[in-house]
Amino acid sequence: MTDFERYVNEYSRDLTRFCIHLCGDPNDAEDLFQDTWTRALSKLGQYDPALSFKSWLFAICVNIFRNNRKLKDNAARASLTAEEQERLLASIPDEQKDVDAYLDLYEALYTLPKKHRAVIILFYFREFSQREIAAILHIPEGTVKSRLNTARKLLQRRLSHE
Amino acid sequence: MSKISEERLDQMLTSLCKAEPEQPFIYRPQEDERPAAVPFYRRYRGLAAAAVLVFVSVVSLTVFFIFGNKPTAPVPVAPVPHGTAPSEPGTAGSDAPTDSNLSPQSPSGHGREDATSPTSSRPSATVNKRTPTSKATSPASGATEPTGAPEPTERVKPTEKPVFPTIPMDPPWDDPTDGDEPWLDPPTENGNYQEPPPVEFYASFDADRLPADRMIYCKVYDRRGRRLGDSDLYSSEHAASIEYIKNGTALVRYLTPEGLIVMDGSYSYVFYDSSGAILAQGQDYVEL
Repeated sequence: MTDFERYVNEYSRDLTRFCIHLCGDPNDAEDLFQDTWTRALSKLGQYDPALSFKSWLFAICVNIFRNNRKLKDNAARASLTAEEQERLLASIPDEQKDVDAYLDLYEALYTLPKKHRAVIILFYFREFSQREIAAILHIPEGTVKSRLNTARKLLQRRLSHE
Repeated sequence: MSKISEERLDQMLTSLCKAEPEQPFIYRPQEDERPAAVPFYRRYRGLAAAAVLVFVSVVSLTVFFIFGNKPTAPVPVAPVPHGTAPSEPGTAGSDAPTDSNLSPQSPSGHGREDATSPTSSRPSATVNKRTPTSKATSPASGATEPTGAPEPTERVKPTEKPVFPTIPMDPPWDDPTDGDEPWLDPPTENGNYQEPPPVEFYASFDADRLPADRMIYCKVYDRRGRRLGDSDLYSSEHAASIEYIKNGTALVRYLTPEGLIVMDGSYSYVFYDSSGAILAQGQDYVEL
C-alpha cells in the first residue's frame, strides 16, 4: 500500500464529515471530497511531512470549497428532505436532542458566509487549535477569533429570531 | 424561540460537527485518470481557425454590402470626344453642344461613349439653334433626359457621407448582482440593516505588569491612525477584561461596542491601565 493509499484510508472518514458539513448537500460534498483527494495526489510532492497531513489536506479542501462558485453562500442548500433530516438527527451524538433546534441550527449554519462557515466547522471539529485553523485558512490567528465570534453571534441572532 | 445561550450553542455546534455520515465517501481515482480535459479550441484547432475565418469573411461581406456598396466616388465616364471639357456636376460648359459633339463619327465610339454621342445624350441638331440663355439651361435639360450613362447631376455628391446605424451606448442589460459576495452588502435580516457585530481584540503579556486594581482599558485606531470611540479613555466603552492568568501570562480581551468598527481593514489596538501605562499593543486585520 502506498503512502497515499494509507492517507486515504486514514482520513477519508474525517474528510467526508468535513465536506458534508461545509457543503450541506451530499452531492456537492462528494464532489468536493473527490476533488480534494485528486488535488492532494497531484500535489503530494509538495507536502512537507513535518506538518500534519490532516491540516494540509483540509487546507486543500477549504481552498477548493472557497473557489467553487457553485457553492453559494445562501441557504439554498440548507433544506433537507425528511429522510436526510432523519439521518442527520440520528448521527448527532447529543443525549438532549431538541430536534427542531438542531434543524434550525443546521439551516442557520448555511446562511453563514463561506469564510465564517469554514472557521466554525473547523473549530467545532474539535481537532484543530486556533493556530492550526489559522494555518489551514492562511489567515492571522486574530482573524480566526474574530470570525468565530462573528459567526457565533450571527447564529445566535438568527436562532433567536426563528 | 428564546435566545440560545452561548454554552448551549457551543454544545450543539460540537454535536452537529461530530455527526458522522453512515458511510464515508470512497475516493475513486480511476475516474480521475481520464485524460485531462483539453479545451475544445485546442483539440479542434484547425476547425476553430476555419470557423473564425469564415465568420470574419461573412462579417466583412455583410458590412461591405450594407455600407460599402454605395458609390462614393464618381462613376468614371468616358472622356467626351472631340475636345469637349470633361464633365463635372453642375458645370454648364460640359454639355455645351458643339459641332464635334454632334458628330456621329466621334472617335469615342461605343458603349458609354455612345451614350455621350449627340444622338443619345443630346437632343437633335436643334440644339445648335438654342439661344445663349438656353445654352446655360441645356446641361440641366440634357441631364434630365434619359440616357444610358449617369449624368453629372445624378452622381453622388462628394459631400454626402454614408450614414451608419447608430450603436446604442446603453447596455441592454443590468449588471447582475447575484449575491456571490454577501459580505460586500450591508448585513440585513428581514430587510432591516443590522449593525456589524462587536469585534474582539486579544493580547497577552507578563502577568506581573497587571495593575493592582486590575482595571484594563483598550483603545483602537483605524489604519489612518484615527482613534475610534469615546474620547474619555477611561469610560466603560474602553473597558477591557482579563480572560485568564496562567503560567505568569495574562490574556486580556477587549470587545468593541457595536458599530465602532463597520468595515473590514487593519486596526491597531493598545491595552493600558488606569494610569495610562501601556500594557500591550498590536495590529489585527478585521473581517466583519
